[in-house]
Amino acid sequence: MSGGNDVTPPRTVARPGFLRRLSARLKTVGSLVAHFLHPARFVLAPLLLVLLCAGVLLWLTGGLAYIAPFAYSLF
Amino acid sequence: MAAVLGVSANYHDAAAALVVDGDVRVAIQQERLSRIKNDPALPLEAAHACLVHAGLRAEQLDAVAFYERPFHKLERVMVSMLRNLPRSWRQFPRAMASQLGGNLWVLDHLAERLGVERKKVRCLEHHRTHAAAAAFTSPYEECAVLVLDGVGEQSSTTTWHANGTELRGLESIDFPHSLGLLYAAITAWLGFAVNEGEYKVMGLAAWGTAGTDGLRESFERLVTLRSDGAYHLHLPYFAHMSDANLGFGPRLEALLGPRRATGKKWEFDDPADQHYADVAATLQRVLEDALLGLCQRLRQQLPGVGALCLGGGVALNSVANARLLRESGFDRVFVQPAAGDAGGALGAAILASIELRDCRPEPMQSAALGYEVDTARAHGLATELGLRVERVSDPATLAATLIAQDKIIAVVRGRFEWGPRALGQRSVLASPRARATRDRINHLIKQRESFRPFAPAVLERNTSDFFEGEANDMTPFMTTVLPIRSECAGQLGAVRHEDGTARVQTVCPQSAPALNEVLTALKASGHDPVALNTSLNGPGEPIVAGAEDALAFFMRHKVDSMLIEDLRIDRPE
Repeated sequence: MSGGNDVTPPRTVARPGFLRRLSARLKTVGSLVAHFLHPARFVLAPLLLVLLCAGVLLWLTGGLAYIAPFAYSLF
Repeated sequence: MAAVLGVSANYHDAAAALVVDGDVRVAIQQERLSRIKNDPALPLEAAHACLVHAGLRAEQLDAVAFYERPFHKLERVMVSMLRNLPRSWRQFPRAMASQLGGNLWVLDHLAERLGVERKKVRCLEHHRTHAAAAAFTSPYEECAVLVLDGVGEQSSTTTWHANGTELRGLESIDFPHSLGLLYAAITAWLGFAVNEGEYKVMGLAAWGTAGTDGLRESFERLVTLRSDGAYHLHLPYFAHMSDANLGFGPRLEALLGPRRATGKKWEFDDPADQHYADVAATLQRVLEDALLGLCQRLRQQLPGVGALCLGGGVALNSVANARLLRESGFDRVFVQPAAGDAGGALGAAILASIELRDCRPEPMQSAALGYEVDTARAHGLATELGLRVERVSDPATLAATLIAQDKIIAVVRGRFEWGPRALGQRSVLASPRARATRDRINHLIKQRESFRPFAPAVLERNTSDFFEGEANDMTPFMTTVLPIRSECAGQLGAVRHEDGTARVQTVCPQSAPALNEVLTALKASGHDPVALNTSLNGPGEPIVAGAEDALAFFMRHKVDSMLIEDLRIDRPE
């Protein structure tokens, strides 16, 4: 037995369509770029670019799920 | 007038909390529902349960507030990785996976999965949410606030001044310097799991002697406590900047000795284990000294303020909290029951609610912020399982009678608790007198290390009959300890820790009504109004939430009897 469970399960929320999700992600990327456009953060721009490219690759390959105990201190 | 859902997720202790019109209606940790201990997943079940409890739909929420700012965290991660090259290089793929696979898009995910407009979802500074959860649920109109955890976006220690609904940041100490990570590194060195074993280190400390065999000097090489209250770690001994698994480096082992093997039985007659206990004691002392230094600085900055609130995972160190109340110079200290990351969800909801011009919540009087058990479902399940089920007219008196007969009983009454402590709603109760009871509970249910204590619950008005001191703002939530009166040591043998203290819960009708009835019934029948109170879960399990979990617990663990509201459940003859 599992599940704690005196509450009915969450109703399924209709997932927004692909275009709406893409639009939301692009807005997030826009906000991220705006965050790093601050002069004090210019130095991080190249690394951010690498990150975003890696992110696309991870998205395409399914990414990694493992989280280690000190992960919060690193990332 | 607003309805705000606060959310913490994506590291550990994910949770959701709902504040409606400035009132904390419900707060639930995801682990209670998913049945995964310290579940970090996006707390959709907990959020849904919050909405159901309040009779709201997601579309009716005015805001959803997340407890951390993902871009700021990403920035710290990037800077830290650059600073620690080449050591951090191997962590790069995992860092990317964590940041880009989830954290960065968490606000989008929340909007999509909850069915809320994206513009209603926002994020707040991690330490500010901890500070808000601490100060705005406290009984103080004005207070100093100290927040300590592993790390938020950037800060690991922050100080604040709360007044009314205002929360003003004072100072911060930033990553990689962190008392939380110091404690975590030694926790790992002692062979315990990080983010779970810190309680064990605190309990172990009572078995050791702080500063023996040059340990004080060794710790001075690990961390410097400055006279102005600040501190810094000596980073070559640590690895939390570049290693996600361990947190300490070879130099720490060269300084303190080899790490302890995980899972090995503790034998304090063995000098090696005594050394580990001495290290734990020294760590605890250093942590307390650091906290006192920070409090002293806060007192200088806020000379007219007499109350202190603590937040962040380090604030769950009940032994340190007791020392702060004794020695910090603050007259009153408050720590809300979910001071760790789960509490960030509550703080985020309160902050967003205040920004929408609601008032701050009433002081928290009870941690019973979850949902109630479904007794009809429990009755049906117990019958299906072939258990004996009996409806009783006075469950409190029955519980008191069973405790007085030295039975070990499981109690499921009222709304389940917020935070890691069972406070009478989902508890195992027993007589506090005999040390053998403690061994029996360990054998039947907990299988804890032998050095770990169990806690007592006492009627608030009788606190000073058994303990040195009175009930204070922390005792209803078990976030501090009190010394047991020496003449009562024999009466409280099952809950007395090695150092003569106990992590006591004081009980009144407002804080834990069902447990108050049990203790009152014990007193009325001529017994001490004290019970051993430990959480209703087995090793590695989250605390019970609903009827299914309760009966699963009963089937797995041989407690003598179970009470689910007014149902008495026993095994077949």
